[in-house]
Amino acid sequence: MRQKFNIWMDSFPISLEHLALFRIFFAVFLYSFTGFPRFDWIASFPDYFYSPPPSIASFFNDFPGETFFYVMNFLLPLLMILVLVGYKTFWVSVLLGLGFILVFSFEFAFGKINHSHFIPFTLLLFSFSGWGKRFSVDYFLDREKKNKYPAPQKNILPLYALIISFSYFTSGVSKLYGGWLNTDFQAAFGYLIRNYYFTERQSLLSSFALNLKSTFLWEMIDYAVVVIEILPFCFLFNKRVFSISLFLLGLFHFLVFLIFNISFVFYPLLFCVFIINWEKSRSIARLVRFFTGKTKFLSRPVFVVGFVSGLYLFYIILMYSNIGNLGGEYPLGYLLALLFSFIVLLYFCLESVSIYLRERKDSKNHQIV
Amino acid sequence: MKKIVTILSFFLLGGILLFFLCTPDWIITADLSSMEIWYPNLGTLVYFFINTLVYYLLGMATLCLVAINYKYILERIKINSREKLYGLFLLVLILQFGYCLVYTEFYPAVMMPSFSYGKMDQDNLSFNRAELCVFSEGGSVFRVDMVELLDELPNSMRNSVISQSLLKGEKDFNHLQFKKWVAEKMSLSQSISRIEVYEVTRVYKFIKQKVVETEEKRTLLHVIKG
Repeated sequence: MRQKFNIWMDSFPISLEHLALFRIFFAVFLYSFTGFPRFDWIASFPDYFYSPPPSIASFFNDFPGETFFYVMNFLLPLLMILVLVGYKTFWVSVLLGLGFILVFSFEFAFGKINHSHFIPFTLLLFSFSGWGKRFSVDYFLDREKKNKYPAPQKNILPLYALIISFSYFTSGVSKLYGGWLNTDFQAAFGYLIRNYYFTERQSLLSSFALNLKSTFLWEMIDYAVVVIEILPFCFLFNKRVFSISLFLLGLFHFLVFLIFNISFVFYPLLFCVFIINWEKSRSIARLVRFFTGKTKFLSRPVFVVGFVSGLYLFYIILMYSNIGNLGGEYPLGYLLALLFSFIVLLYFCLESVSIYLRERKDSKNHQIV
Repeated sequence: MKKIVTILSFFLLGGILLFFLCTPDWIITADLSSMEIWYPNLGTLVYFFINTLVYYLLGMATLCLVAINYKYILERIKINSREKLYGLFLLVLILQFGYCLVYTEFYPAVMMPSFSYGKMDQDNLSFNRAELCVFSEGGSVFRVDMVELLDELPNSMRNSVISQSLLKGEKDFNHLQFKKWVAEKMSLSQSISRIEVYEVTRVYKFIKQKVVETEEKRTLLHVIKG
């Protein structure tokens, strides 16, 4: 067990170039789907609604004034752009992570926690990984100054795996004790009724799901949910099963959005860091070549400025449109964030499977020879 | 001497665990008054034995084991700093989960939504709403569902906000500020003299894929004056 634990602590090795790619993936999704988030509406509510759970907000008696939220409205997108281009990445990631925690604390002071903690945690953890050391402004500045980049560089992926798997484990265990495996009632169906009629989440596949009358099917869904949520933590030390269970979690989030209309923005993208075969993936190698090849066109300032502007335009279109009420209560961008991140997850999952199968075939052929 | 205390502590620990395994739940969870009714002579003694003495002995036995054998334990589990860090991190994760389960969820916690309440009686679905009865200075009365005032919040948050506000007392918030906010939200030209907050409990049945209301109960929770 101890040996396994030690091996696991050195698992998920990932190069600086690949970490930088993950930073860009993360920042692109964060920026294009949260873009210029507005929090000033919080200040308009009276202290009657101020019921913060234990958090930073519990040190205050009332929502902060508008000025605070206007500053955050400006500061967070600015920091997001800086993470994307990799300027002072360590400090900027830490600041952005803390900024999100601070703002979310006040947003959740209404009494409802929305479990968006993976976003600040990713920023805080990866800031120690050295994800800003390549494909970044920092890299060019350091090369010019010829000094060593002082940001820390630790293998944080096992810790990140622990955080993700434990989060879902808590949910799975609560369901287990809540009686989700009891065959006398179908918990998922019960939540669907609540969602459909009382929270009025009635878009996408929710009506279709409500008409599915099979008790057996809903009971299987109850079982599947519990298993999928507990699986990653139980197989933390088994890299292959862990990756598969993370893919299942991504699929679970996608289906939850389609049926229950509950969005967890781009969470499936975060699982990609464990699913991508960074060393052998051809797509990743191609992406790296965009930065390191002869043209290096992704490293050119004009491209970076154009890219950021394009993302902002994309964000404007997504956040202020809801074509055919597709996103339900959320802007269309939330649906697309989840859809795109799931497509990315699916693509890399299939690629990793094909690499694995190819390698197994090669090794068998080698043995025969 | 160390050996004897260690053996005794082991036996004590084992004995207590066996005691908990063998004692029926209804005895362990009973309160003092029930114990006194069931066992008029020894009820108080049994209650204090279970609730105080057993836990005290359990703590003492564990403490003795660790205090006497800590050097031996440390030698056996020589762990490097990285293992310590991960071990500590896992311990923190478990403790925060325990805190969230026993008390309330905090932010930021490493948790996902539990949706733990599995059982749902489809013949008896009940939902609470908050209704405001607004009295203007001019004598007009308006009724408004609080959901309508929370249009800036996402759907998922509205019900939680309402259930939180139903728990509110009468004194711990700024009444004037709340009245002003309600007037703004309802676009009232007259100022508000008082607001009555009602808890409306509606009971539904799920029949043939449709939800049908069967009962409605209205309770006055508090009056906002000032």
